Amino acid sequence: MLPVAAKEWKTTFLSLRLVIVVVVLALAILGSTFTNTSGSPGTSGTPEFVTYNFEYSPDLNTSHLAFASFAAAPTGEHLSGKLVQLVNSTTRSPGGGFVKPSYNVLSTNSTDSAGWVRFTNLWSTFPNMTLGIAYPDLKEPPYCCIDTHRQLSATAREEGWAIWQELSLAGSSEKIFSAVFLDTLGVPLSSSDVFILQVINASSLPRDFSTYSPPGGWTSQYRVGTTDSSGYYINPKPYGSGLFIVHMNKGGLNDTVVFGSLVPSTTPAGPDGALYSAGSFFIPLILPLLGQAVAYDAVAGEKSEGTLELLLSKPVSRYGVALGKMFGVFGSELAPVVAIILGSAGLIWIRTGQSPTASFLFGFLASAIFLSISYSLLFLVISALSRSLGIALLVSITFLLLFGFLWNIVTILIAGLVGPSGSIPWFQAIVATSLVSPTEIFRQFLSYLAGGLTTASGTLYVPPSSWLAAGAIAWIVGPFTLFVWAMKYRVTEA
Amino acid sequence: MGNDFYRDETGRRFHPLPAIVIESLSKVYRGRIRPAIDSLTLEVDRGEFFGFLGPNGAGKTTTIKILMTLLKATSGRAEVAGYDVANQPLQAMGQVGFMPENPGFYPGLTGRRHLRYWASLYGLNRSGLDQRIQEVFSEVGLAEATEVKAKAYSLGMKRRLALAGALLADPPILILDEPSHGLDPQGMAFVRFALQELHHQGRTIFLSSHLLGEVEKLCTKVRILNRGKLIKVGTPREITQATGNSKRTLEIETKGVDSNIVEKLRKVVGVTSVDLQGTTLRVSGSMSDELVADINRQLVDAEVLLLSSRRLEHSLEEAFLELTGDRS
Repeated sequence: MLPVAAKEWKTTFLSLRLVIVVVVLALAILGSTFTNTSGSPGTSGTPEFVTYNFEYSPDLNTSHLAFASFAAAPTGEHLSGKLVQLVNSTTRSPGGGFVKPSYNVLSTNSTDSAGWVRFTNLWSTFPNMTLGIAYPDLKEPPYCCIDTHRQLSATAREEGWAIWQELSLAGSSEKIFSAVFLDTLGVPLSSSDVFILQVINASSLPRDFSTYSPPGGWTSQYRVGTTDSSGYYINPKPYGSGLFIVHMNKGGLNDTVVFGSLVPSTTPAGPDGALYSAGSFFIPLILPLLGQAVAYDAVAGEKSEGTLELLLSKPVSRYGVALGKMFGVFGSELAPVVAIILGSAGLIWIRTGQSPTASFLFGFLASAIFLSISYSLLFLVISALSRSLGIALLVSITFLLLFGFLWNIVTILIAGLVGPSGSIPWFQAIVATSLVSPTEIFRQFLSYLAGGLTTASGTLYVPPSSWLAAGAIAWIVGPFTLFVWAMKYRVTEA
Repeated sequence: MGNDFYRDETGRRFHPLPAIVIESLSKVYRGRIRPAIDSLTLEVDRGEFFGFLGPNGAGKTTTIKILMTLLKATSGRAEVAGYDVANQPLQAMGQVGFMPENPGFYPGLTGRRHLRYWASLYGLNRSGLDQRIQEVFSEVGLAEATEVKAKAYSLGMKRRLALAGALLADPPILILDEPSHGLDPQGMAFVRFALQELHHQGRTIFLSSHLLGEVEKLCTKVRILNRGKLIKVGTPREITQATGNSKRTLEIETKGVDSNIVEKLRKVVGVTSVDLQGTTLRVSGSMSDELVADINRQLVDAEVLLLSSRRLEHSLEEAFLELTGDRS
């Protein structure tokens, strides 16, 4: 077995060059996907961080104030007595934001008991400047921007305004909704009624959604609570995916805001998320292809070269030859698979300074190895049963297309017959039909690792681990048995 | 190198058992009705140089593939060096060197790498392996090309490499399927010489060949297979003598033969045809000793000068064609 494996490894590890090209290409593509997915590190990793609402009122011709409120996440506790700075930017970054070392502190003030801070007379005191408010303890650039270059309009409307905010729960991907309701002077409007409505069909919303009200008006059935003394409303429960309208009302003052998709994220946050988004797209594309490249000619190639008869007439058992072929093929693939995944984790570490969690990385690696091995075994079976190298190539590509690309569509079509999209039966049908293809099993493994998928009703659906394990075992044991059988009884029969 | 050679009192190596035993062996390929070989029974003695003849499709390669564990027999059994090929394939394959009809090679490997790989499949240990490889290369006349990649080998060199592979484990039995196939005359001469030498070393050789001249010169015993059945067994001489009795030729170099004499000879009982070309007279017929004497006497009586006279042997090729019923 060992010489066969070593020989197979040497010939299929074909050009070390090819493998290096594949790995480098893989890492380059993964690297570029991280730019989009890694995001700002630690949004959910900081144990306690500050979220703040910030507004200014260029419409008010008297005081021209800027005001901000500061609350701690995840509790929503108002941060009182904190030092807050009014800063101006010396250089403006291309995006219009502040770059931390390049601003001057103009004034400081501390937050009141409700976490509020106010700076007044901005247009007269600091004319022609770009101003921002900074909370020094927060390791983020100042909140941008008050532009005192701009002309002021004369009118001041007597109405309330609501500002909504997502509070991320520390160490979690879940977010809760908070809103603050103020009058135009920045005075918090306590005891205001808060209404929330989920929008089923977003296209039905009027363009100016602030005028929107549900059929029958904002009745008590939409009322979820009232604002506290600081004008805050914090909804403690995470929201499902979708679009929500929040209406706030106190006396004659009201405002309506729209926020969307407070999804319990299906992608894990941080480095795990980076690996996840790379994995769900790139890995199922490259690994089956790699398996096809090394396995389809492992037996059919020897058949067409005429070396198979010499090999099988040596005193080596067929089982040994079969195992040798398998281990040789796995050996050639294992190096690139491990290199791609550990390389990805390394890349994430370089870019973000954080590495994926060990359990996620291990699960991901195991899923990728499963993907690689199951496809290799499938292509080995095809290789052993094909009469010629051409047939082996054709059949293996057919299976590659079927399982790697088409089956995804088939699962959705079948699930569509079972239940409405996003329902639990729909998800169950997706998982059940996914078990037919190793690529889909791999994707379900990733969903499992990510903690599940969000259903239409906003809950999470986690693919049953027993189904996935059964599917994976079947996809290893089945082709393994078939390959050993083919090597023993079929490979040299005309 | 573990094989089952024994040595007799003169030091010559021999194998203690019949080298190959085939009993009622049949093979029907999937999807076919006619068996490729049909209840084939034969035995190859140790030290025999065995010629396995038959037209295309007679079942020679099928038989060899069953012996080499490449095919499973539908029924019957086969033994190589006393080991049943179906039940003890590893032991059996350890005793035999094999050269298939179209041996394949790994184009990117050198000759030496091929032998190293095959040696590892025999489990040959490292010590002395390089020396053994060198020996085998010299034996097949490939010592110059050990470091050349197989893709640069000529057909003749490839055959030599395949033969080197077959000899690597010093097996007492060699099974060779058309070893001269496609070779030029020099190549064929080399194979003939090499096989003779290997036979003298005490090996049993199982040679399947189309080249009847080669078989006739080399083999100690011949078996002719046709349509999956064994139709003739014997030494080459036994086979040629057993066939073609009614069709032998007496070739006489003469002076002074005329058409009258030719006509006269045609009327002799037992003569089937008389042909005169220049000074060469060819008389065909049963050519018994009496008939030959009678013809000679008639020529002498007619005052013809006899320069030489010889009875032409029936060749193995003629015997083969007669036996396999294909004289086209």
